[in-house]
Amino acid sequence: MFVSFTVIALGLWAYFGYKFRAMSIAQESAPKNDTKIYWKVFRLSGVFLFVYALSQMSTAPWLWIMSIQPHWYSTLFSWYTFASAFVSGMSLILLWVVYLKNQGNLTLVTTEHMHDLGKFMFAFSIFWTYLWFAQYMLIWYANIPDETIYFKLRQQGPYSIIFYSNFIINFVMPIIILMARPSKRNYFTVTFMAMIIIFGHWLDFYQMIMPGPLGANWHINWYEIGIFMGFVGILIFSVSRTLTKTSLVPNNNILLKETIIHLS
Amino acid sequence: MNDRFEIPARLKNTSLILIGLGIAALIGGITTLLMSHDDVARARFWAVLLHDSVFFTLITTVSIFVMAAASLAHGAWIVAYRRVTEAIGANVWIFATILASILFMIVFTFRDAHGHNTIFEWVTPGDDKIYAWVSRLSLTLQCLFHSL
Repeated sequence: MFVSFTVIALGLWAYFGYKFRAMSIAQESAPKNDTKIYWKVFRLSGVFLFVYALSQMSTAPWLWIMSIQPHWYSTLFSWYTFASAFVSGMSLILLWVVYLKNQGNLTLVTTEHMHDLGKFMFAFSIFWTYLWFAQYMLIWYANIPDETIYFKLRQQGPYSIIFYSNFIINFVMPIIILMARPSKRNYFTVTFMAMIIIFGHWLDFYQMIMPGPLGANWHINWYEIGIFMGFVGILIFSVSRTLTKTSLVPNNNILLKETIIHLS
Repeated sequence: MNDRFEIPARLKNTSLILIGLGIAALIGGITTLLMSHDDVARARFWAVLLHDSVFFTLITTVSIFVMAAASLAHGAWIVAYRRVTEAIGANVWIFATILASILFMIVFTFRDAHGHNTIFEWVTPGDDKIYAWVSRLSLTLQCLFHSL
């Protein structure tokens, strides 16, 4: 079950990631204003959302993360990890867009698009907090030992510093810094906040995984930071290589005009 | 309109240095954590790899989700930077491969001195009823899955 589910879920994600890019590149050489590929993308998007809702949004984090502490359960756990991943994924996209703009590429992206990305970062930080609160409050209020064991270890035990900094970095900082309109249209603030949010949600995943196997003996030391940097390196290396292979403007995309005149 | 991106030497060097640091940390981890007789150190070795690979797989998959949601809603604003989300989404397979191999190594190879898997405790249920139940449930579902 564990093995087959993992292989199927990851395989499907990787396939759709490859397929969306391939279809978008195929659109470049399609006849002008041809909508055939557009509707194909539309249909496959529906299929992907179905797959994604049944894997990442409901079952995969149960198997990969929640099963580290099998005595404890939370039905919204996967949704919570999805919210966490979504904000950091949005921040990751924003970091790439800012970097490419600083290199003089992506001339079609204006402050309006950046503002909308900033809105996503802001709004889904609040959404993450809502789920965090929904999970925490119900367990705190019901006070059933089976369930409170999770938060006792994290809030009152050796992880309390991560528990509280998680909340401050991922809720208090975005709501204060990203609330105002000018801060979402300022390249420095959004870049800074994107890095903070990625780090904050990295900590969030850390406090989901580590208390089970390590107990009180947790470290954030050369090993944790080194492995994290290695993954960042793989990400930068692979994504930048993929970016060079095509034009950064999706030519012949039938929504190109709409995106140029977009106002946030 | 043609807008090509050439990888600047600085970005490439930075990424290679970061990968180098990651490999150095991995080698250091293998020699000092995985080879040690301390069960917590060995659990730390695997748990950190699990943490980072899950995190990076999930945040890169979000790019595919964003594209799919925008396409389904006929959203146009994403098209301006669509190539970025596509490039991130097209590299999900790298992190997915890493994640799958780490998950399977933990499940199948990681045991502490007493033969327990301290990360996924349901792999070695022992006397614990809930762990045994989780293992049995997964076996039942697996049989069901294969019989279909």
